[in-house]
Amino acid sequence: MENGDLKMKSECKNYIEKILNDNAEQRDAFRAHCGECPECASLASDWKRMRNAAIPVSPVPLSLDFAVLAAADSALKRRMHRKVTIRRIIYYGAAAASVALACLVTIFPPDSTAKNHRVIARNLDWSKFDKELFETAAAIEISHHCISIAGTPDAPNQNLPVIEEEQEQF
Amino acid sequence: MEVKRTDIELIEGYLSGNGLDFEELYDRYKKLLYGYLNNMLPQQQSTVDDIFQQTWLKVIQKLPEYRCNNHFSAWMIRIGHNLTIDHFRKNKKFVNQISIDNEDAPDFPDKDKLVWDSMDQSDFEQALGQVLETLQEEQREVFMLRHNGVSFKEIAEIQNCSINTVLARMQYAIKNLKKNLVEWKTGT
Repeated sequence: MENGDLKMKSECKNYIEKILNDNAEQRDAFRAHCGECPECASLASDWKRMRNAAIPVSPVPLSLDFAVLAAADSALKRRMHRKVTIRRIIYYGAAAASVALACLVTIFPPDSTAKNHRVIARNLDWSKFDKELFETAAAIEISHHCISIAGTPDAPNQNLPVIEEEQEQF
Repeated sequence: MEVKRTDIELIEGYLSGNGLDFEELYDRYKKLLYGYLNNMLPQQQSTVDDIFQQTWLKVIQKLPEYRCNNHFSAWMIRIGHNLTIDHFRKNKKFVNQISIDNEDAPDFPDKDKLVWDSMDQSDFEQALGQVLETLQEEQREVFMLRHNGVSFKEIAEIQNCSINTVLARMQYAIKNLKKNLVEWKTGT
C-alpha cells in the first residue's frame, strides 16, 4: 500500500472510524493493526497531533453577545406574557361561566318536589293503574289466606299433616 | 462542588422563565459556533457575524421544539450550517458535493516527513488556523466539527450524507492539512 493512498485495505476501514472517533475500545487490536499498517498508524498519529492543537478562534464581539442575549430576553418576555394571557383567559372564562350559571338558576329555579310529583301523576297510565291495583289486592288476599292455613314461622299450624322428606338414593 | 447543569436542564430553565439559564447555554456554545462560522466563511467577518446572530435567533425561536435526541451543539451547528448554505446559494458560491472518489490523495514524500516532525507546537497551531482555509468546504467543516467534539454520526446528519463519506472527507482533510502545513513551513 503506497503512502497517501486512501484506497485502503478493507481491514483498515474497520479501524478508520475508531481512530478518528478517538475510540478506546479494542485498543490492543488497534495497536497490533497499526504495527502492521503504516497508513493507519500515520493517520492516528496525525489526527492526534491536530486534535490536540488549539486552533486560534477570534473572540465573539461584545455587540453580538448583547444582541443575542437581548433577543433571548425579549423572546422570553413574549413567551411569559403569552402564558399569562392564556391563564387569564382560562380564569376569566371560568368566572364568567359561573356567574352566568348563577343567573340562570336564579331566573329559572329548578322544579320543586311537589311539582315533580305532579308531572309524574300527569304521565301515569290510569287505565293500567286499576288493573294493577286489583291484581295487587288479589295477591295480598291470597297470601293472607295461605297464612291462615299454614300459620306463621313463629306459630305454625300444628294440625297440618307432616310430610317426611325422601332420602336421597345414591 | 457545583454540579455542571446539562444542556437540557438549561433549556428547560430558560423556557420556564429563567433568562440566566440561556446566558449559560450561550456562553457554553458561542465559541464553538463562532469558530465554526469563521472557518466556513474565512475573511468574511461581517457575514460571519450576521449568520452567527441569525443562528442564535433561530435557536431561540426553535428551542421549544428542541428534543434531546441529538446533542444541543450538533443541533445548533446544523442550524448554522443551513444558514451558511443558504448564504452560499444566495451568493452563488455554493460548490455542489464534490466527488471525493475522483480526487487525488496528496503525496507525502519522505523529505516532508522530516519537516512535519520538526514543526514545534506553536508554529503548528498558528499554521493550522491558516491552512484550514485552503481546504474544501466540506472537508473543512468535517474537520472543524470533529475537532470540536461533534461525532461523525451527527456530522453526517448535518451534512446530509453517509458516515462513510464523512470519514473519507476527514481522511482527506487530515492528509491535505498535513501537506499544506509542510508547504507553509518550507515556504513553498
